[in-house]
Amino acid sequence: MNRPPVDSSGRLLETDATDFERRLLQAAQATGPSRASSARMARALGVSAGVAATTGAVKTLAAVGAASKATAAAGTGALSSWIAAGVIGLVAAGAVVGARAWRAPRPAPRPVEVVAPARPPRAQPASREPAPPAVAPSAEPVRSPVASGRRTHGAATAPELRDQIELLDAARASLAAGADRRALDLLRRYEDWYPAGSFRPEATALKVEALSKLGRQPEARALAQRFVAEHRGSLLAARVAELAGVAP
Amino acid sequence: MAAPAERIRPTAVDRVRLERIFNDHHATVWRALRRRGLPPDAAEDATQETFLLAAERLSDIHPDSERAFLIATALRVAHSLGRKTVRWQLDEDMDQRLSAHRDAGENRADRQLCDLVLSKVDPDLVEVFVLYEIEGLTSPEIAELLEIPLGSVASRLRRAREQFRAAAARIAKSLQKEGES
Repeated sequence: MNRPPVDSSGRLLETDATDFERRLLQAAQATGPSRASSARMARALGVSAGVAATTGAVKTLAAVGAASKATAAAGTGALSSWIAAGVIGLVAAGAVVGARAWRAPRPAPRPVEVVAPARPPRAQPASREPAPPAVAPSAEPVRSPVASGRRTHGAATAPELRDQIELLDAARASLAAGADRRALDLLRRYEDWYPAGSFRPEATALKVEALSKLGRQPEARALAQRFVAEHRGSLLAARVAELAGVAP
Repeated sequence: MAAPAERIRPTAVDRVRLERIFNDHHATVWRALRRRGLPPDAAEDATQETFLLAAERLSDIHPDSERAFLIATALRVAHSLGRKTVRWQLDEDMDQRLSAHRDAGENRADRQLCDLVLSKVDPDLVEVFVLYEIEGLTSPEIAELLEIPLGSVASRLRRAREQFRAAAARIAKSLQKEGES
């Protein structure tokens, strides 16, 4: 004899639960990760957390800023956190749009091409140019290095900018956590995937930090010297020089 | 655990789907992991790992089986972390998504009472009860997840429900007496 399917009797909450049983079950269902935790997980996965669905670029950046502050507070990556802030400033006119684009509700499909500076920008105060309008990437393919091949020019789509930022974030987080070798691997990956990436200077600076922390001073110094020569006068160059102990 | 940025390379459509299933199910996954005894940080990492695994296999996951797939994956992740036994007593620091009409204290108290009631249910039965009554899985999903016959799900659920209701009634009565004294 076949037993009736369990579901046919309905769930307690949908049928004859007492008020007390209902309270208990609903309380159990209401348990979940904190909003901050949800946001962290969503960000790591590159998706938009529903709990933070109303957040726009400002809040996204605030979260990134908070993360970099935490890094700095941990005392594990002064340069990393400084670079995080630098990245935010550098991409205020570009990546912010990317962040907004993938976090905002997605209305009409519309091709997007957020143009980042052809040459990775030097560290300087946040863009004085007005931010481009937010765009909706719903119909836009994710142009990952795997999907679209290596990008060898400076123009980056919003999702690609986001991917670049995620990769650098991962490297920065690894440095902050003391996983220096892993950070170095991620930075090499960044170099491989984005040979003309928008954040090459920041990636290089992080690489100098990673090499230094791994005790590979000769490599760190050589890289720092090249970096300083190419970016002489920039704030980032000064930091890199200080970190690697080379002349600014 | 590999960094997400190096693992997720979904298409645009996949990303939309990943975002949807994340928002629909991540709390359930996290809760399942916490009930396996993982502390909040570990549960967060394991939830992330679960969705990374899901992202890698999105095309293999039937839309009707997303939640079951995620919970099954989460349990495997927990298992790989050495969490092989169910621990129903949750910690004090679990976060609450509060409903609008209840305050944190009430919710916390109710959750603790729920944990107390669940602790009175036979350990062999309680998992089915939680998956069905709290997490909302269907009995076929639970059967597949726990690799037990559908009939076993039905019988375990019936017995678990009887025990849960009996324990809840006893506790409600005790609370009522306390309130009167």
